[in-house]
Amino acid sequence: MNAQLFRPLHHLSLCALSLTLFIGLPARAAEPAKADSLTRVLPSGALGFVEVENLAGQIQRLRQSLLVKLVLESPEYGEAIKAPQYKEGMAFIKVAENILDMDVWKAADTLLSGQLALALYPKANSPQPEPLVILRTPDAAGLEKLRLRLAPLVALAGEKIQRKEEAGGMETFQLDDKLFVALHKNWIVASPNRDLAMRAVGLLNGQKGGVLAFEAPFAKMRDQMGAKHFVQVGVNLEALRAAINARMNVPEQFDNGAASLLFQSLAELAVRSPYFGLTVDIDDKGFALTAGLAGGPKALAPEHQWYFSDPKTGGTPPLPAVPGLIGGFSTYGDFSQWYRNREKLLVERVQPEFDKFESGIKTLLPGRDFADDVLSALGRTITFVAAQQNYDHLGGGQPAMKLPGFALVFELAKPQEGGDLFQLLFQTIATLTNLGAAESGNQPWVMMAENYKDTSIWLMRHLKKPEGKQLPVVYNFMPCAARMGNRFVLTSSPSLCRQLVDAFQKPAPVAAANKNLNIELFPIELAALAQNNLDLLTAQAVQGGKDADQAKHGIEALLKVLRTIESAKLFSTVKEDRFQFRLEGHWK
Amino acid sequence: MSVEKPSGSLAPVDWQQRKWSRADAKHLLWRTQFGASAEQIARTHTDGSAKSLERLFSLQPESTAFVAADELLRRAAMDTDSPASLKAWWLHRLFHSANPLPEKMALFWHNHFATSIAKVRSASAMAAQNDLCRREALGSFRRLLHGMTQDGAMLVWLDGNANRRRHANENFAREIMELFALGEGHYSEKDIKEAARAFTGWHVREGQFWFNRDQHDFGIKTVFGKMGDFDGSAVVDLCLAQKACPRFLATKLLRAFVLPQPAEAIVAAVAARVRAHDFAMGEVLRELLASELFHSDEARGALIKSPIELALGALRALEGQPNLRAVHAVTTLLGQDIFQPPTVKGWEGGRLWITSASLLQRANFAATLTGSNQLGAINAPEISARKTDTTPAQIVAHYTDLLLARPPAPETRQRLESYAAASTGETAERIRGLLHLIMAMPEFQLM
Repeated sequence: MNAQLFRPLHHLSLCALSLTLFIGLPARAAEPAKADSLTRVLPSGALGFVEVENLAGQIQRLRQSLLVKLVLESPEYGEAIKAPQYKEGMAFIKVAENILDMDVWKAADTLLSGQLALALYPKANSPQPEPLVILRTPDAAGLEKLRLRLAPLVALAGEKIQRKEEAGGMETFQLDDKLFVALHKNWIVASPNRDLAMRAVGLLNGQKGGVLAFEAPFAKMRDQMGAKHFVQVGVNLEALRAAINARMNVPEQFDNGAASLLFQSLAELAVRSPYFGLTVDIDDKGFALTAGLAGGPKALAPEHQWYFSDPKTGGTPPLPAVPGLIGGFSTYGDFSQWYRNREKLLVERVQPEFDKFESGIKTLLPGRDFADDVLSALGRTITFVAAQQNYDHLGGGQPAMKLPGFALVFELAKPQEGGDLFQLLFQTIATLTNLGAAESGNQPWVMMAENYKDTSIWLMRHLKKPEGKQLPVVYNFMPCAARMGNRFVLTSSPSLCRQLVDAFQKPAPVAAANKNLNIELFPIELAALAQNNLDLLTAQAVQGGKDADQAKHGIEALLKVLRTIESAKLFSTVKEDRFQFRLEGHWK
Repeated sequence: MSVEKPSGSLAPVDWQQRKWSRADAKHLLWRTQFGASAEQIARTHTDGSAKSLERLFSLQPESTAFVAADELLRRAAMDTDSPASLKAWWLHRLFHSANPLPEKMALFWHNHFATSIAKVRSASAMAAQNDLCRREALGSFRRLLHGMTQDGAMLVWLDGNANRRRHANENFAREIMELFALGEGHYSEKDIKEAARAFTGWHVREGQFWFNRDQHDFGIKTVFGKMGDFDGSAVVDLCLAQKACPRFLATKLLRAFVLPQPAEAIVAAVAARVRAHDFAMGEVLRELLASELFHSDEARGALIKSPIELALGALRALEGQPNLRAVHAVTTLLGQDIFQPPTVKGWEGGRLWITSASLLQRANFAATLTGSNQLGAINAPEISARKTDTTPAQIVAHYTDLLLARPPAPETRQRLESYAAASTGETAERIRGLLHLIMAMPEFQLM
């Protein structure tokens, strides 16, 4: 991708300067504030845009939130405000407040309580795009006051600025040949390109046609992602492809297997999508960030379709509801399809790595073929879970460093065959681990079985029951395996294995539609885990050069912050005509 | 039992006749702890030699903050069984303990009985050995050597469990004679073979010494010409009785604390003191540190700083708060990874600390320490105090006096003063630049 397209910093800084300076000039006429998106007054032809709605309101909301209060109370913040840079910043704000005759929050409220948009347009004979900035505020009186206070500063610029009164009460200013600014009672337009700015002025004054919002890619984005958001970012990928090349430098074949698994199919979707969109919404209890592309899996070549769930039949399930769930992920994918298509998806150079991998895996699964036996036995979803664990299985002993219990749940396409295969894998790993334990003088494991609610659980217990509350970290692990219907479960702790049996025996909750990937984190449980390991975390901070008290206070402040966050979720959804990622955070 | 007083060059300095100077105080502190701050040098100068030695050799109470942090770091190392945490724990002690000399001697014994966690693979076993080194740091070498032969980490390190009745493993016995007690050339191969039989069955089980009676050879052995049903302890006593033993220790002690290449006569004299004190090494060291020899011109700036002395010494002199993990990384890069010596011989030290590569890395260390907070923030007050020293000459005099074992040559001083006069910008930044120059000088590598 041509990076220069996204380096219009010089012009951007000029636009920002103009927004600060030109509000200092007297206004000529009033115009009621418009609530429509600024994309309806941005001229067509932009490569992309960013629009922010009522930034001042969100800043206000953030200032009043518990999270910010905790950050302000933290020792780290206390240290930060002692820094000379902070003091210099505060001094600058004081000077600015004196000039403006209002506090900085009021000034922000005046300028940012409406809409602010930036769009980038291709520039003839230049790799750098041209910016256009529009600011519209409902607080015309406030803007007027700011203009009057800043007028003397503008006057200091002297002849450098050519001022002109235009029809309809508008004024324009030309700063050398570098910046053109038009301003009205409640809006400001700025761009280095006068024609571009005047097109925006025309649209602001009610001219019809030629607006960004009705260009096909952005119209599609609005249809698929909605029109009203705190922040929205749109990129016209069709225009970008025309400017760069048809595949936007995305290679046909990847040279890294992991990157292919994670991104290749999405990149293919992006290559065909007319837009890339991003929206942010915030309320009192959380935020949501959504990123979207247009196009569905059917538009892609068959070797790229393995990644996407069927939009009609749903995707990956929600995480199992086990007590003390810290987090985890579930993912959907036809991995055997990906593996079989690896020669199409990946460059020749990396193909020998797969042969090496298959030779290695034969040690763990003797006599089985990875593609034919292992992958074909796998279903489409894999789930990973981390949850608090208890140490009942140690009979009173406890490791000093307390780790969560971990679980991997594989959906099985062929339950019986797949179950046997994974049990074989489990037994082989146990044997190899025992050989390692014997070499290093650690305790070996003994395999045993138990029946829990009609499910057979294979577990490995330590040969000798350990005693004490400061046991080595290895006692966090007592591997277990079980087949539950069409699922094979591997866990690091018996309690988690039993909890998963309980969870899977309950009726399945309704899955969120078409989730292709689902990652969930519950910081409150993470804070509880950190609390259980407080001394170790403090020791780590002391090793890093802090004193013990300072370290403890810092960690406790962080835990307070974690406890205010209820959950963080990232998931993707697949529909016939769109693919979206959504990141959600919820706090108290 | 009364012990005859040392004489000759080992006789104590008569401080009635000779003035105890700041330079004497600084010399004593750099050799007995890891660097010295301006305040510590001033206090030691005020206290005089006798009082300062008394403080160094008597147990000082540790601060509550030190005890809390020490317990926290030790427990973290044990709980995680992590070598990095174990090393951070000891670095914390080396730097922050109110008893620096026992810590320095513990490091001396760690090098003497070089044992690596890379093979032992147990933080608790290594910590137990470290405790033994500290307990006997200024105590009895006799007890220390006996303790080491039954130390869990040492038995793993030297394959004690492979030493069985029918297949005696000579590893353990060989290292005791060659590296721990006598040095090369003071035993025969037959002595080793026979001594190995005495150590058969000295095994380790669950990290602890275990006398495996079934695997012990109870037969008659001949070691150093003496016959008997010797076990390991008896062999240790036979080693301690050899003339070579005190001589071996005297050489090491002199090289670590006084001179890199001590003359034969001096070694013999110190060996006599070791024997006279029946291996009470604290007594021997105390006499050495009070001696004419230690305070002679020849001994000033004669030793090359080890990486730990260099890094912790610089941090202490500049009143820094070390980032233990970063300091460990830098000392490892410079060739001294505590709890992980390169071989059973430990770190050879001396001139081998300096190579063309390590000299460059030492300069890089100076740049990192003075130019960033990566290794720990060096103390702003120490630097800001210098704002009152108005002239470049005063500032240069302060820092060369603080950091160098000997005054710099006049032309070096002049260059430093020219730099201090010519540099522009904030005072603190200019001082950091000057510190970088001083610490990159060859003279800073000496103590």
